[in-house]
Amino acid sequence: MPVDTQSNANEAFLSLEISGRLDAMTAPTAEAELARAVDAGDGRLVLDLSGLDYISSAGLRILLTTAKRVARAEGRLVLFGLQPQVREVLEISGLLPIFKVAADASAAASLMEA
Amino acid sequence: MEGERDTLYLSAPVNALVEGIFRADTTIGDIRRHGDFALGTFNQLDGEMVMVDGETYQVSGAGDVRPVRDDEGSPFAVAAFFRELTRDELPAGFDSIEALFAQLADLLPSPNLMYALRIEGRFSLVRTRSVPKQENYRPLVEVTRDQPVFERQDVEGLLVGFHTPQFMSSLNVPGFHLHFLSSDRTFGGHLLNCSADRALVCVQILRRLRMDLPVSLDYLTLDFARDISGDLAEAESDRPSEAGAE
Repeated sequence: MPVDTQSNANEAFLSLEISGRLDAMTAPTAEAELARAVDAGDGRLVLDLSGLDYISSAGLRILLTTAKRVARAEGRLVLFGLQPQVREVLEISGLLPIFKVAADASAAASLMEA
Repeated sequence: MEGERDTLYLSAPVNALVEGIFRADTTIGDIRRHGDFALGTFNQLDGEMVMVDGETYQVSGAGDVRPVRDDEGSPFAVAAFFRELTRDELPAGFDSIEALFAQLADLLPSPNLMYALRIEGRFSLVRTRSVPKQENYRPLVEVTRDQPVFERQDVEGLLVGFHTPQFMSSLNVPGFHLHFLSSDRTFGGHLLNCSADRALVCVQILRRLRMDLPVSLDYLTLDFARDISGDLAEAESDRPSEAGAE
């Protein structure tokens, strides 16, 4: 299971940890989990990607779909813990500027509360 | 190459080909300056082009595959310097080209970007077409109504292809456009149908477009007012349209 959902203690947002591979095999499950999380967190979502080893183009699609869902909810999406492969794919694809990226969990929480 | 990283190169807009301009001064060597991964056709529509790792092959109207020299000409080619961004095993097999396209669509972050796709696998069936040498001015849709079709079962090889957004349909074939080349380089062509239990899909996102416009009397004096979308859809598919079937 690539997605673990954790409610944040202060309930200002929802945190999700995505680990392993986000690819064509895991994307459908991840997409459903992320959609539920956007709804449950009123569109305020932090994604912990520190355990995400690989993202494929199918995974990029899921991140974009989630960002769109968050935008529709007038919420906020923050990513942190980008591993080198994930950061590189986001950079080369040109998609990185679409996302708010924080250095760590604490910085992500600050961005959510800003 | 550095200046053309992640760039789709079109040697000409596809609408010229659809209207029957089957000859240009562009050579394979010219195209290789813009990519090492390409598909297209040759002057006088003499077969289908597949370029892989900088090596260019012609699938003739008789179905033969041969290497192509740099001085041979092409009226239309789509190329890129292929650099794999990510790779995916398709989650399921597919029993038709439509089923393959549906799975490929799920791999793309957005339908509004351009992509190069390199798909490797052992295919239980591959159906291709090529086109025999033509005279200029015969609309592409008429040519492809007589297209020779080839089929091979249990064949290992790769699909070279691109995805182009629908709104670019006058410049390039919209949607997915794939050519096949077998691993032993004896079989290939424009993909009409295929099936496989599994396939590996390598994706490159192409964020820029570079296109040359032909400078020929035929091209410069052609009236492009006609809507070519119906012709192009029929020419690229396995089935003639209702009009084509008449």
